[in-house]
Parts: sequence; structure tokens; C-alpha cells
Amino acid sequence: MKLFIGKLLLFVLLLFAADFLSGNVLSKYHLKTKNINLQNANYGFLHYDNDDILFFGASEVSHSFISSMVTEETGLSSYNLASDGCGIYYQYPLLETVLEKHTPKVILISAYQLTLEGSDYLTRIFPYYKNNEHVKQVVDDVLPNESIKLALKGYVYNSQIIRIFDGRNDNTKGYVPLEPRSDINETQNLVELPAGEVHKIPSNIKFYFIKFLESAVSSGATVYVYVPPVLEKINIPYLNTIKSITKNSGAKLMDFSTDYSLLDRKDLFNDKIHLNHNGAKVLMDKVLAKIKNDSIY
Amino acid sequence: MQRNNIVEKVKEILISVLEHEGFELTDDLVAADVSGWDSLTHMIIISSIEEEFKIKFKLKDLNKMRNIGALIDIISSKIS
Amino acid sequence: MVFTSLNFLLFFPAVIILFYITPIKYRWVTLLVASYFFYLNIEPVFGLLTAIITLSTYFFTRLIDKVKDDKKKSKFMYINIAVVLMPLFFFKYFTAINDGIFNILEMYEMRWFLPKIHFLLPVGISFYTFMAIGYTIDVYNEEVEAEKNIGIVALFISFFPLILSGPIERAGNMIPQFKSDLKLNHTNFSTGLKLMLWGYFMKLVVADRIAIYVDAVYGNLSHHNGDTILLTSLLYPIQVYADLGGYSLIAIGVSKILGLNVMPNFNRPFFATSMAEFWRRWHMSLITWLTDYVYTPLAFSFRQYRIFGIVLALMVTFALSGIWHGATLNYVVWGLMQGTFLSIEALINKRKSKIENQYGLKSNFFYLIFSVCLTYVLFAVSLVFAYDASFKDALMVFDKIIFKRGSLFLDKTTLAYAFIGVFMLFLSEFRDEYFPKTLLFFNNKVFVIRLVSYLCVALLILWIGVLNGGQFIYFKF
Repeated sequence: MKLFIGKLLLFVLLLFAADFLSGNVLSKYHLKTKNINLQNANYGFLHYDNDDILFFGASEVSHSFISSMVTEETGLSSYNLASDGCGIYYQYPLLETVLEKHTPKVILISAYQLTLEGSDYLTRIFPYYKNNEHVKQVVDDVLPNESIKLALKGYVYNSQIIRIFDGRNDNTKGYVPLEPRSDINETQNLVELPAGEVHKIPSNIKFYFIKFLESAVSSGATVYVYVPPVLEKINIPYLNTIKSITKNSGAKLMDFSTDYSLLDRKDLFNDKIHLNHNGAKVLMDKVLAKIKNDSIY
Repeated sequence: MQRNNIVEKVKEILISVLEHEGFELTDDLVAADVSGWDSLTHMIIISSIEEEFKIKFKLKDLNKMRNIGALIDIISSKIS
Repeated sequence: MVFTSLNFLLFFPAVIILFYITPIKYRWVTLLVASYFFYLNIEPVFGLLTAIITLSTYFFTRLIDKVKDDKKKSKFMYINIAVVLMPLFFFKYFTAINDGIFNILEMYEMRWFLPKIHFLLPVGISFYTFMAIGYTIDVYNEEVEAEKNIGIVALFISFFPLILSGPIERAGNMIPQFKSDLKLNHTNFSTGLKLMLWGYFMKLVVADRIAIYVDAVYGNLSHHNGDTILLTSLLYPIQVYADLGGYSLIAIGVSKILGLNVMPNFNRPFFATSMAEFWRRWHMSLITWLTDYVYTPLAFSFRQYRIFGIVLALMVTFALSGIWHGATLNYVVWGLMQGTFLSIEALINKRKSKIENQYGLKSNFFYLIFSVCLTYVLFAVSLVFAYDASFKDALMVFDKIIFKRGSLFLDKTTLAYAFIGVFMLFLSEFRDEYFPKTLLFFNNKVFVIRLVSYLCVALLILWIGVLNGGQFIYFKF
């Protein structure tokens, strides 16, 4: 039994050592990754400097907001900070981190799919947990047990290994273009969700969404809440909630959910949720017109 | 009836139900060692034995049939 | 508290230490206290159910033992089975029946707006109910003696490694072990840890990863095309296997560490070459339970109808097994499909083996692969009904697979992680099936190879396991 316990201890010791070593190697590669989503996270949480027009959201933003086009038109530097699949638990600490360094002129946040609990994607901010107060605060609040698990480096980079080494290098200030496709057959018609299918915003998500808007507005930036054009049924109660939250916080609404000049043109979409590069260009013209209208530039 | 006779008849039944002779009928033999003798054919074997010896088993008897030896014992106790 | 929760990783070492410092004579008491602590931690009121089932089972098994008259014995047996089944029926089927009636009323627009009552299903109830019933019948059949110590009966019904999802153990195996001298020893300890490690691998790396993809597709059927749904339907059996199989391994490993031998629950099911063989390898503790307590009595009473009596018994048994999984039409269809597959096999079995022998097919490699694949596909088809969806959804799956083809939805990272896990799992099972005792890792003679293998698997769990506390899908049964 004594020998066995010795072996068991040796195993545990080696496990921690292997975890520590491999964790350090992974963290090096994580910083150098060519993966667009991780690159954007690294940029926002570590290397952000002083861009003036910022876009927050998930894939519906990362494939739609062409930051270089914004800079060309406005003369202001711009970055698309969106990251695929990331919800408000990611956006909020990112905003706070950014605001510590610089106050941008425009902050745009997407209000798509706030009904989904996005806690899965908390993993993407784990690498910053140790050194970033805002990240730590959100993670500790949303998943109280994580602080213990995060002592293991392997857990910090859990489920990210493929992403770290999966490099696509078409990152232009955070914007990722999508190809046009010919086989889209979804249609968007103003059909409300069927009765019984009530997708409410979970209270914790609502809390952080409002917190995001409050911080953004009080920083002095002009804040837009973006509702994307999608070829899906419209959830009217959800939209109304977003409208009232936006109004109360002092942000401005940019609602494209019923913009048929976009929705009727399937050639602008890559799938039912994401615009392709052509669609993004059309959208940017509209967005820029609104920003100009608000005399940002 | 002699125990040997019972064994002989059981063997005939097994051969006719399972359609092969690939087993040695010893007291220690268990169903799992005989190809084709599973929970499905088991019940056919049981009812064939009942018909042959004109006896009726009880459900409790089934649980006691651990091997061929036990089966033969139960049959002979039913006949006498 | 589930095995994959952080709490369990604190709870179990604490149990081992307590177990170790308790005098050998009273170690079963430590296990009993730990078991109730474990179960009450999920929902305190559930402890009442195990207590009631224990009391009733103890009382009636003792009575069965005492009375001489066989009629009285059987009466007591039936009374206890009825008592033990009541909570299961109430919690599991009340809501389903309630909803069913409401749906019918709604169809005729006669629905009054009464509140629908939904109860939280006590986790594990299907498992310990079956264990209590098995024990009662065993006492009646004089397979085991009625236990005189109520504490041991309580431990048998609530034993924490098994309470949530089995294996569905038998009194004949467990009770003598609980009463023997329980000791920690290093062989059991290391065997148990190995089983746990591989169980966690199956659950966290394989099952939970595939689940992400399966849920994304099955949870959103109308948005996906036939090819994607086909891939999902073929992946789903692996998920279910790795889920319950992995969880069972952890349960068996935990028991082993405490010096208790629990029956295996799976035996490489996807290497079966027929449905009959498959069901001797899949969820074995449930299937042997059903064989002993449902199928055998039924087949025995139908025996004069020969093969058709057997078919009838099979159908009833598997329909019941379906209903045990869930009180929905889907599960009944799932069960009846198993019954049908097995019946067809039973009917053509002799002809099949004649042909196999004639052409020497049993040693033919391609025939073997064909049989394995056919068995897998048949099971996958039936499992479409076992996903938590409506009957209409299940039909939509087949409709789309056949008529609505399209390009695959490839969530590349999820599928890549899943592939790593599935590949390792199948490679290890392939070795165990065809080349046992060769190329060993966990059981290699060389200590360094063992150590490195444990480290690799542990690190893989840490790196690519789904560790954010996903819910185990078998609990609700």
C-alpha cells in the first residue's frame, strides 16, 4: 500500500508538472496564434491601443463590419473586436479593458441572440483570467467554481488547442469576409415566433448587457445597439425588450431586422445569419450614413 | 426411469432443437458453453422436455437449472 | 452531485479517508452515511423515497422469509413490488399522462386553463426501484435470504456509486459483500483508479464532445439538411455508449476502490455481429435484469406457443424497456424496434447459420465487417427515436435523410476533438476484442509505460474534455 501511495503521489506530481510545462508552451503559441478569433481576443484584451470606432459582437458582427472601409471613409481608426460565438460575458470585460486605455468615439454592440446562455465561450477569456481584473470578476460571478479549476493550465486552454494552431491569416482589423453562396433558400418574412416559443433573455445576461451599455455611454462614446438582418422569424417581444433597454441606457438603436433592401437580396448572404462580403459592403454604407448623420465625422 | 435414460432423451431434445451435436453432455455443462443455446432457444428446450417427460416445471425450477446435472436432477424428481 | 462535478472530486477522497479510519466492522455504516449525504445533496426530499423503498422492501422480504404458505409469500412479493413502483409511476408517468390528457383535450378545443403540474423526476429512481424489485423477487425465489439488518438493505438501495445510473446490481452479489470485511488494498485501488480514468475519458472527451454536435443538429432539425442529420444519427450511438458506458466505468471504479466488485455494464457493444449479440453487450445490467424478471417469466408462461411465445415475450419485454426509459411514444417505438429486430433474428437464425457454415462466412473478414456495420446501423436507426424529441421530429429525421440531401454542416473543431476521442476509444476496444493482452498501456508490465499512459489520458481530458459540468443524459431515466 505504501509503495502504491508513493506511485500515486508521483503520478499527481508529474501531472501537475506536465500541465505546467505544456501550459506555458501553449500560452506562448496562444499569443502568436494566427486564428482570427483568438487574435481578436489577444488584440482587445492585451494589445488594444487607441482605435476610435469599435465593433463588439459575435459572428454576425465579425463578418459584417469592414473596419478598413470605416477608416477610409471617416479617417478614424477602427477595429472589429467581434469573436465567433462570444456572448456578453466576453464583450463586457473586453469593453472595460478597452476603456481603461482609451475612450473611443463610437462603440457598437450587437444585440443578437441574447437569449442564449453563452457561458461555453467563457473559455476564450480564461487565458486573461489571471492578469485581468474585469475578466476575473465576470468569470467568478458567472461560474464560481472556475477559479479552482483554472489553477490547472490545461484547463485555461481547454478545447482551444486546435484553434491555437489553426491559422487563417485573413485578419484585416478583425473583419473576416465570407464568400457569396448561390444555394440560400431561407426567406425572412415578418412571421412572429409560434406561440409557446418564448425566448426570454436570461436575467444574468440582461444584467451584463445593461452594464455594458451603461459603461459605454458613461465613457462619453456614442453607443449603438445593432440588430442584424437575419433570414429568420422575428421575435417581437425580444425586439421590444432590446428597444427599451437601448432607450433607457441612452444608446442608439441600429435595427436592420426589417430592412428589406438587405433581406430581399439573398445574393448578399452567406447563410441565413451571416452577410457575405458584398452584403457587408452594402451594410457598411448604411452604417456609415447613420454615423455621419449623427455627426461623428 | 434411469438417470442414463433421462440424459439420453435430453441429449436427443437438444440435438433436435439446436440442430447440431457440438457438445458433450456432462453434468457440469452450462448453456453458455453450447452454441445456439441462448435465452430464446432455452424456452423451446424447456417446453420440449416437458412434453417428452410429461411433466410441468415451475418458474422457480428454472432458476435452479444451473447446469445439466441440476436439470437432470429436477427432471428425475418430477418423474418419480 | 454527479461524478463529473468538482464536488465529487472533493467528496470521494473524503469518503475514502473516513472509510479508512472507521473500524472494519462499521465501514458499511460509513458507506451508508456517505450514500445518503450524496443523494440528499441533489435534492433533500429524494432521501424520503429511498427511505420508503428501503422500509417497505425490508419489511416485506422479511415477511416472505417468515411465512410458510407459498400463496402468502407471493402476495407479499406483489404488494412490495406495487409499493416500490408507486413513486416511479407517480414521478415518471404522472406528468406524461397529465400532458397526454391535456393534449387530447386541446385537440378538441376543450382545454380548460388548469395549471399543468410538473414534478422534478428524482434522479436514479428507475435504477434503485429495479434493484429493490429484483431483491424482492430473489427472496421470493429463495435465491437470496432476506437480510436481517435494515442498514445493509438501506445501503444496497442507496449505495452512492450506483444510485444515479447503475449498473443495476443484484442483492445476491452486493449484500454479502457489504457484510464482509471491507478493506482498502492497493490492487483494488489502482484497478479502480484506472477504470475511473478511462470512464472520465469516455464521458468527458468522447460523449460530451459529440453531444455538442448532436444537440446542435437534433435540437434544430428544421434548419439542417439530410446529410448533416445522417452524420448526427450515426454519431449518436457512440455518444450514448460513451456517456452511460463511461459513467458506469466510473461507478465500477469507485466501488472497486472501496473493495466492492460491481458487475460490468458494457462489453464493447459495437463489435457485435448481430442484434442478439449486441444486447448481450449493451447495458448488460438492465438487460439481464429484464431477462430474469420480465422476459423469462413471460416466455415461460407463453411456452406452449413455442417460437411465437418467445416473440411475444420479447416484444413485451422491450416495449417495457422502452417505457422504462421514458413515457413517450418514441421510447415505445424504440423498444418495439428492438423486439422486432431480435424476433426476426430468432426466426431466421437457423437458416442464417446454415448459410454461414456452408460458405465459411464466420471467418470471412468482409462478412464480419458487414455484420458489425449492419448491427450498428440498425441500432442507430432505432436510436433516432431515443433522442429527447417528439415522434414527428423522429419521422422528420428519416424524411430529411432520404429526401433532403445537402452539404454537411461541419463544426470542424468539435468534430476534430470528437474524432480524437472516438479514435482512441475504438482503437483500445479493437485491441481488447481481437488482440487481448497485447499492446497494453494501462496494464503494461513496465511501470514507466503505465505512468506515461495515465499522464497522456489525464492531460487529454484536461485539454480536450468538455469540463463545464454538462448534464449527464441518462439520469432522467
